[in-house]
Amino acid sequence: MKKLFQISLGIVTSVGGFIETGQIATSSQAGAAYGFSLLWAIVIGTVCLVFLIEMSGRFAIASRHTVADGIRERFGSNYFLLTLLIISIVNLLVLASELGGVALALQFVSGVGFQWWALPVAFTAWLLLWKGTFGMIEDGVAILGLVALCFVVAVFVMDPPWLDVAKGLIPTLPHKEPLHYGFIAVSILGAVIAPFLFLFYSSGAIEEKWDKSFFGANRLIATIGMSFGAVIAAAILIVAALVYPPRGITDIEGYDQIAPILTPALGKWGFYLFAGSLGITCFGAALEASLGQAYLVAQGFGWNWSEDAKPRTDPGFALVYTGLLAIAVLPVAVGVDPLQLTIFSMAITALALPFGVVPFLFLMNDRNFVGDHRNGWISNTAVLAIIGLSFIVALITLPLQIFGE
Amino acid sequence: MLLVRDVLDKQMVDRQQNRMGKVDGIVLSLSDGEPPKVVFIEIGSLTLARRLGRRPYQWLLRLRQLAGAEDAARVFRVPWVKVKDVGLDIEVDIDWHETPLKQCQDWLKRHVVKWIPGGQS
Repeated sequence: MKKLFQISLGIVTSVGGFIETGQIATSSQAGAAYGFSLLWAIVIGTVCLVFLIEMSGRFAIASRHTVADGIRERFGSNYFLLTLLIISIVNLLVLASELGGVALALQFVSGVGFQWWALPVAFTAWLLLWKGTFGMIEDGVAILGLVALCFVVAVFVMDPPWLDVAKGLIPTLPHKEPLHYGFIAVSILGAVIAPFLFLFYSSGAIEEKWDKSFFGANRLIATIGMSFGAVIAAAILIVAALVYPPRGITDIEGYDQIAPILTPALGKWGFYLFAGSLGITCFGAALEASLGQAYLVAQGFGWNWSEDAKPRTDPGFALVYTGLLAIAVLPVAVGVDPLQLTIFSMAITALALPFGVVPFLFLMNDRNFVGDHRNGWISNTAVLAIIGLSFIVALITLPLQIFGE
Repeated sequence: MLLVRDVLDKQMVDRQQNRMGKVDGIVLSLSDGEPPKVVFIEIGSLTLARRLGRRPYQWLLRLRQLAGAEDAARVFRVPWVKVKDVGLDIEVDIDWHETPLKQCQDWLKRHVVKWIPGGQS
């Protein structure tokens, strides 16, 4: 019974980590510009993520080490330092985008400009990390994050042409602006496969002391949780496809265009539900990204770490997330547009993907770490496919970044 | 046991499973006519910097001198005889409080965390 509860909580938590400013921005852009035809990118990204999350959980359960530990221990210090550098940049940009998302949500509700909310938001996030425990943060984010289900409700209220929706699940070439199409597809993949998710997840398995009886639970949480998140991301895309093109909007240039996305379906409350979903999910992702960075640094250098410990017990760990939050708040506080920041972060995430995913192939096949719980042929085929995809994505992101916009 | 595969970069823990850093370097002694012998394990940022290259090592050394560290080039070494178990973690029989990592954490606690409200509770 207790395990059932933990599994459901894990599933709900996955939603909290999955839906954030990246999903909201890229899915709305995709829906506005190309209707349902980019749904396949969410599906492919989610399949990759399910495999990677399941593996990071399995790695932690079998080896009692996290993925970050594994990268340092298996590949040595130089590769770790390179990974650390790249993932830190990604985490910093992602964190800044999430803080921007929360600040914008507060602007929509209060009318006070988002840059004024940057410091209070970052401070609140920091205070929760400084004072809170892992369980409190995880469960709080999880339960409040369910507000994002309002997008799924909106889909059913609007009753889309389901046959056309289904056609979007099959990858197709665009009938206009292929560069822009490619750029959005890549951004969706970047938004779905964020590295802080597996840093956070594999550390979470250790924080929550998952033992060998959790292999099944891990598989369920990864599969159902991530799919659940993907359903919400798809719902955002579908709603965007129903709302924007009929009103002549095909290019979303700012969050103020996304804010009324739910009003056609849900009326006045739609506006507040959107602000709530944006604010809460971004806040949750901001906490997870900050912690993900602290886990990465502490584990790579072999420090003691735990979000449950007091800052004075592990000062280094606590100061890493403190420092990251202090830097990430700057772009938002000086008024960098949160949507532009998000789109840029997602592209950089996509560019950095190979560094995050290549280690899985080696770690998940190393008997010294995982013993008998090595990858089978299905997981290994999946990893190879993901690595291939990540290189393609990284290689095309660069020119798209320059010419696509 | 293979030194690079099984020892280098592995997690070091003490008898109470406190994490003491990763194995940043291994020191061998060479003498004529005998096979090389492992004498020390090194931990510390200087060793890491040296593995990255000579330049990073010199920069870090300069930085430590500027910061006023006494004996800036000193590296913390654990005698190999203190190594009790080589598994997925390397268990060593030394006092956690002697390690540079613990001392650095204590310094941060006294000089940084102390000034942040709520850091002491």
